[in-house]
Amino acid sequence: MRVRRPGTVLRLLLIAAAVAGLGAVLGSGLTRHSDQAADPALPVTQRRDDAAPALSGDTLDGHPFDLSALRGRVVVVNVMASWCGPCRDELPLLARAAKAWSAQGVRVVGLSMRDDPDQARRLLRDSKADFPVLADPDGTQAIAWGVRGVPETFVVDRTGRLRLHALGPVSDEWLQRELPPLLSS
Amino acid sequence: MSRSRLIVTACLGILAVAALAALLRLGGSTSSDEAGRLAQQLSCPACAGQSVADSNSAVAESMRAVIADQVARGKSEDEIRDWFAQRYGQQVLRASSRHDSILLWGIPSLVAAVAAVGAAVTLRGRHPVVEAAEDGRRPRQRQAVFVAVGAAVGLMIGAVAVASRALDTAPEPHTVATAPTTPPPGGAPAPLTRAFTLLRSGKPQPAAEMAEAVRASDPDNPDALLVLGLARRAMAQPEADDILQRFLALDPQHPAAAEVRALLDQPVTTGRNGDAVGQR
Repeated sequence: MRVRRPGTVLRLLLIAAAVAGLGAVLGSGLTRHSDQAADPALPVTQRRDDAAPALSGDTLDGHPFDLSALRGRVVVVNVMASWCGPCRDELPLLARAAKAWSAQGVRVVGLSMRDDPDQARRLLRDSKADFPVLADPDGTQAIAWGVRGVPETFVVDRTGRLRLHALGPVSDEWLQRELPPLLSS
Repeated sequence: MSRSRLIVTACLGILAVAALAALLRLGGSTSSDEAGRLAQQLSCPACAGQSVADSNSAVAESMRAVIADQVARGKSEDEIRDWFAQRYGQQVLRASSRHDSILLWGIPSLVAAVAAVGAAVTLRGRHPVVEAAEDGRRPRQRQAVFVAVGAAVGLMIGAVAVASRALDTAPEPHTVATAPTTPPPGGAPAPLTRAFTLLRSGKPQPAAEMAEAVRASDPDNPDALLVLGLARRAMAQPEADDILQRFLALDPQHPAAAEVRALLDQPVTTGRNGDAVGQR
């Protein structure tokens, strides 16, 4: 057996530990993704009371859509893009919410801002999102709504008035808090 | 000229041409066309101070598309600025960025001049290494030139940082909880907000009265015309549609305009006196 100096073994162990530690730190940074529960400051919610802008056009599935046809329902308009990480994180929540709130008269609509339609469709499929999503390839519809970034969510009440503008991803808690008053008015 | 000096001169020449081209491109962003001008007068809301003209972000690109679209449709500069101010607040309108242009033009020009002088000084005469070995004065002179060029480069970097104020890469998801107390842009003045509420609560008569009160001092106020028209329509009064048409003519880009147009396509149900009014 080759004789090793005890110092060498210790040094090797220290190096191995340092490398492992560094790897763990880097790895945890890579896998961490935005956790909404960790940032209660989002979304920033602006309360409004204006006539909602028009919203019409073709969905990503090629069907015509017009917001005015949803008069009488509370409409949640979510502006998103597949290139936006927080949007991707938010989408499964919206997919579930669309189903959960539907019976109470809520409709969820997406606005795909400056996005590749194939990527957007794939994201919707992966997130099991069933609601209609309008294509907005040049982003002009989003600007008409006053969008500053993505994701943003607007809520239109039953009479077609724009009542809420949320900047940043929404949460189940946010929906629980904001939708019932609009549903009962 | 020795080969090394030739190479250095050639490199400096290329850099000078490239710098000049970049400066011209930057200077060219003082655009002569209307859309470009407007884009410079609007602040990209997501980009920490950059103008819509200068930002690469998705929002800025979308805004440029909107500007081009509205210019093509014949909207005036004031109308377009108002349209944006209604949606993004007054803060989207920026003052002229003339001082930014001066910084972006002037500092690099100064640096180029200093670098040219420095190059001329160091390249004149024999190879500097030989000179340094033979002449004790050379190192200090070269040192002075290096210090001057370094300071100028530092100044340029600082000036560019100040003038551009933010680096942004393409997508900008909301990662920052920005000031939550931005008041809603373009809100109707208080009496009209109450009037809208009255209208929605099924009280068109007081709504109409409030709208008339606003119109007493501001007869062409689009929001007042909108409330008045809708209120009169709710009361099935025949002049309602004329009022709504006037609203549309005054503010065709109003957020409610599309709905009002759709409404006007539907006939008003018969009025109290039995007439079928509003059919077209």
